[in-house]
Amino acid sequence: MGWLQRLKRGSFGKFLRLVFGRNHARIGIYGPPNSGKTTLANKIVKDWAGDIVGTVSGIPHETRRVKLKRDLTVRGDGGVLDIDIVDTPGIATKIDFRDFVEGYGIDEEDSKKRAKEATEGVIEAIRWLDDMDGVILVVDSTQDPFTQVNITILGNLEARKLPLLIAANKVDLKEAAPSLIRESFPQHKVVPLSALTGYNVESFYDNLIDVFR
Amino acid sequence: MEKISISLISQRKLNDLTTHEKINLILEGVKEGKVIILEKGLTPTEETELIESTMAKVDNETFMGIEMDTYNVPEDNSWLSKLWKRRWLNKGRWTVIGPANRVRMLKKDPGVFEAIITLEGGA
Repeated sequence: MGWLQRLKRGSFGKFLRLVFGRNHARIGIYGPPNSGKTTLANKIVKDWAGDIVGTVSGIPHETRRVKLKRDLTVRGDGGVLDIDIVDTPGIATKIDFRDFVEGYGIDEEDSKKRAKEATEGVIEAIRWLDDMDGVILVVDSTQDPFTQVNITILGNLEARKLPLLIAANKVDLKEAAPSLIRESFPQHKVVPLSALTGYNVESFYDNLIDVFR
Repeated sequence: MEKISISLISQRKLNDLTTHEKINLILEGVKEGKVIILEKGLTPTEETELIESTMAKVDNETFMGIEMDTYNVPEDNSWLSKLWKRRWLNKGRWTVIGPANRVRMLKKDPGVFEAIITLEGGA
């Protein structure tokens, strides 16, 4: 972390915010593949700028490049927050092109290309962590949250002392168990929501302002 | 008969290595098809660097990535234990890493963690 970022996050930054009012935060959306990161990024950007950041599909690693949307103003009960939203490719420890061939019927050449781009996307996502003021970790509420990828991301954010909000996504699905995410990560703020249907997004925005302001 | 090699790397050896050296050691072993057990597990920052280095080496032919799991030894919270550990011991944290095409970690409970290792197929 650079000295400027340390100043910004430290007491000097708080002093500046008190004097000059609104804060601006660059927030990264991180998580494993298919947890709904781009759906959430699209929801945020649509709600506050009437736009979207990327396409969504059921195939893992649909987002293979970092996408940045600047200067959104989020409003909630707790005030106002100016943010940049950074949608990142899913973090994974393995990417096998055969999963795209066998699981989704993509031809071998395209699957290899997709896998290669996905590996580059993971590297890019990790490198962007240096430029973040805070992170939303998107976790699929229908899956076991206690995975190595989630643990590694959380541990890394804790080591960097970055503010964090966990979005327990996909609560519109019958098998969702957001309480399990709360139990797994009791030290962090967890907001259940459905980025797809918009369920509980108002509470999500209130928490976003509270955590990242 | 096909075999699989398991390397247990001691805390003492790991203490002498930089993060870069640890990651090279792990990836060289895993690319040869070995399962690596670190007596002193990686920190979250090192784990992230390992993921980054792993992704740079995925080649769509022989190496698809890694399977990794970390086991935190539950801490004894008595003041004597805290003082003792803080002064003399490293936090109990093991990391197991293997080639993704051979190793699949199973759900762990606080006392045990299990993995399935497949022998067929190259690393």
